[in-house]
Amino acid sequence: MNESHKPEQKDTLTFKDFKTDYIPVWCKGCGDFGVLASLTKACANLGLRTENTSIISGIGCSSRLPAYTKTYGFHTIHGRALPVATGLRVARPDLAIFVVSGDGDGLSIGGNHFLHACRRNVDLTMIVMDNEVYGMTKGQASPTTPCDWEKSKLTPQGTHIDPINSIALALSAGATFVARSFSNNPKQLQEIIEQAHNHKGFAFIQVLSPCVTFVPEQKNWKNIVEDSTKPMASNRYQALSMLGDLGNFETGIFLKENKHEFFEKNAKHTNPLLDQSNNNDQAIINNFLTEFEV
Amino acid sequence: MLYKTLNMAIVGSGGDGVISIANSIIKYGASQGYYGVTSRASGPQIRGGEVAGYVRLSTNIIGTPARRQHLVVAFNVNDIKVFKAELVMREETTLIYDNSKGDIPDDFILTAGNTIGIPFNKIAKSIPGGRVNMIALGVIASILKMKLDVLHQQITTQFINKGENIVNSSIKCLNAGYEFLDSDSNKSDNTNTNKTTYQLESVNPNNTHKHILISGNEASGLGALKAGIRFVAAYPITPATEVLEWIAPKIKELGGSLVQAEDELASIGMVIGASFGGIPSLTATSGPGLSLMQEFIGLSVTAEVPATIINVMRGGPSTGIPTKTEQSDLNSALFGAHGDNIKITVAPNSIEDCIHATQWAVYLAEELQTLSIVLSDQLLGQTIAVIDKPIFKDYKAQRKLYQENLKQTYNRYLITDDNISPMAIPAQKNGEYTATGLEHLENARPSSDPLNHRVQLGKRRDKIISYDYGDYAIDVKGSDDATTAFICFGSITNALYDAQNLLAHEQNTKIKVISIRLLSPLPLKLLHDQLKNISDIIVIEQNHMQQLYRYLKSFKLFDTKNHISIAEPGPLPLRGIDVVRLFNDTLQNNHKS
Repeated sequence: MNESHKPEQKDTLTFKDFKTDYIPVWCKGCGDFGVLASLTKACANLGLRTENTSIISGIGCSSRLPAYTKTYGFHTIHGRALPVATGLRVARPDLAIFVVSGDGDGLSIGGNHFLHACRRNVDLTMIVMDNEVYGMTKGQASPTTPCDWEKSKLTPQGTHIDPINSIALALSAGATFVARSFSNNPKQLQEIIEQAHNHKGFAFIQVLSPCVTFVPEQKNWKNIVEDSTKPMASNRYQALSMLGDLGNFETGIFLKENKHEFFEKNAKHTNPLLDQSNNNDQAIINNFLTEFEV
Repeated sequence: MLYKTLNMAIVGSGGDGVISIANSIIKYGASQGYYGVTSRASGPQIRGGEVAGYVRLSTNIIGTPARRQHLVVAFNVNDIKVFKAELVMREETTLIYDNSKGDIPDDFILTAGNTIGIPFNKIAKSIPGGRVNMIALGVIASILKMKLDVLHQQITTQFINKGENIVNSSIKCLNAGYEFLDSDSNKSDNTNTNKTTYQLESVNPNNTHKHILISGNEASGLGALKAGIRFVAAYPITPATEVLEWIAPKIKELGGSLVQAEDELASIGMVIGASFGGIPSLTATSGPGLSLMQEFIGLSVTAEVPATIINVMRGGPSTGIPTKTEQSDLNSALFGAHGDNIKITVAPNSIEDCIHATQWAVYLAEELQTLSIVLSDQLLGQTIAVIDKPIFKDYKAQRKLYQENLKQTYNRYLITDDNISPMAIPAQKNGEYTATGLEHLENARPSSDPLNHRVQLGKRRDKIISYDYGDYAIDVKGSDDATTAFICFGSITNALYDAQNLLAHEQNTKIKVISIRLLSPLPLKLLHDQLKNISDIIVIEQNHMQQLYRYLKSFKLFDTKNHISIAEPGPLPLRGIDVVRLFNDTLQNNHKS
């Protein structure tokens, strides 16, 4: 590893300090490269330290991202990044935590965890790289695939199921920061990630991130994505009411709501591994045993 | 008559306060220096159905609930039918039933030697705020010759927070019940009040041990916190929920936290996340939950993130018999997750041991950076017992942590002498790495290199099998000259000790009982040593498919010896006499064949 990249030797870090020299498995032209760039730039611009940042993922193309960053990371199992990140958040209120996921990982197999992370309003930033397809398994329909997409061998006649609107789902489940961006719009994406990180509570960002290999028509997204002109809502009912008019390629922050976050009061968490001499704990536990005396 | 041990059952419908009576009796017994156990059984309904509370009091320490009862109190005689398999009445039994609504139905076959009708409901109605359970407690108190003033004090303490009226009406009911059988005015033609008393022998005054009243589930929770658990994720499931409910307020006092998860996958996921963050973490569940956790178990093993699961076994498979006991999750614990993975499995063999074994399991998970499973069961978990106040063992979570070193590149999965790699936790400088379930190199980067795969598989196996677990891995009871051994694990150990005594005294047969606490990795050397002079081995377990027997056989532990399997599924707790019967039957069948 390049010695000059050692973060502790510098006061301010650049996005390069947040990247490893590991070459991503992603195909040429994959939107996820843009997300990696914007995320590392946001981290640097937020003044985060690599050692105080954790990036948690599940399984899929997008979930490979943590290994390409020089932060702490956990590449967990399919669909389950959010529970792991929730446990880490509760145990370690001091860390900056990002969850990176895809449309299959985050909204299909991990759908239940998504609902409950939203309603807990747990202080996490979740980035879902949405390419409307399972890329790692070579092109099957995901929960955000259009119902008439006929290019999957599993569903050659199309799914005939309406795709999930992840923005609507996040809003109705209780996420307090909801936004959409585009991997090809690095400046906007970086800014939204920064705002999401600064938001107290669960922040959800749907990032349109084209899969040029299995859905090459997504190359056209750059021509249809546009900045939203809708005003940012401050409560979810307001945000939900404008959903009907919101196009699927309109990007921006749709909701920023102040709501009590999960476990905000438990700002400190004891750690017996680091504090082996905590005799007070031992006295409390001995007292637990005494409470059983008859 | 004086007894060393008294067994009683109280049967009623939800709302009769059956469990409250059982708890009052055991509390009283404990305050008088007696040992005891109490357990509950219920019919299929969650609330409002039939409930039975069992109490066993004794001058000596006991572990197994009884089936044959000295005293049975039924608020509705028909409710007894629900529990006929586990509630046995014989010549020595007194049955007391509520005759407010009439006598015992004709189709009811009476097996109790003595039957007494008492109009609990009528008496309750005659006292403002009167409750049948307090009257029944009074009746039981007079039959057991309990000290009324002690009971008064106990009831007052119990209800003082509910107000003076409740205390007063409770004491009135208690007194009414206590006096009922001795009052001549209650003797009429249709009320048999032929009172038999059952009194316990005095306790040994030299026994000055402090006693505690605790359930196995509470004991497991206590052991977990003692070991250093400061994060718990919880999803409710019978019969494990009490572990989590006990921990919930306690862990807060210690500056830790408990989160209720959306399902079992989330609870083990949260545990692994918190542990990745450097906090010793645990969850508790039962069979179906353990099945759901299997993929995460593989991640914990492969990514080498410590975690502990307390699995309180119930009747399986599938939903099975959720409120009753069985030892049928052994295979699931040992072999559940996919791929080659080895982890720690520990089985507590008494209520007290739920404290120590859980503490040990947490310690081992942290020490070896892997996953450990505590195999408790419904019988251990939900039985409340009076036991000697235990002394905690020293097991305290400690992890081989990375020491910050800015000059060297950190390798998370470094091959070391003991195969345990220093683990960095977030916020440690220059320790940044990505934990992963993908096969990885020493530096944590994913790799499908065949040689590296072997190296990492070997690392994860060897750190576990070459560790010195010490003598606590098994319990052995019995004389050295015994040539027959019982091998078992978990809650049935106590019944095997009882059987060992019975066989020694009644059949002059010497048995060595080996209870395996460390089920994975199996302490082969200790077992071989213990089996050296043994010619006949009987593996006894409470499941249908000989899970322990087949597992032990795969290690060729007893290929050169006579060996038989007794595999008796739940849901009824196995008692000493059951084991003796099964042992004799098996021997006979063996001779025939």
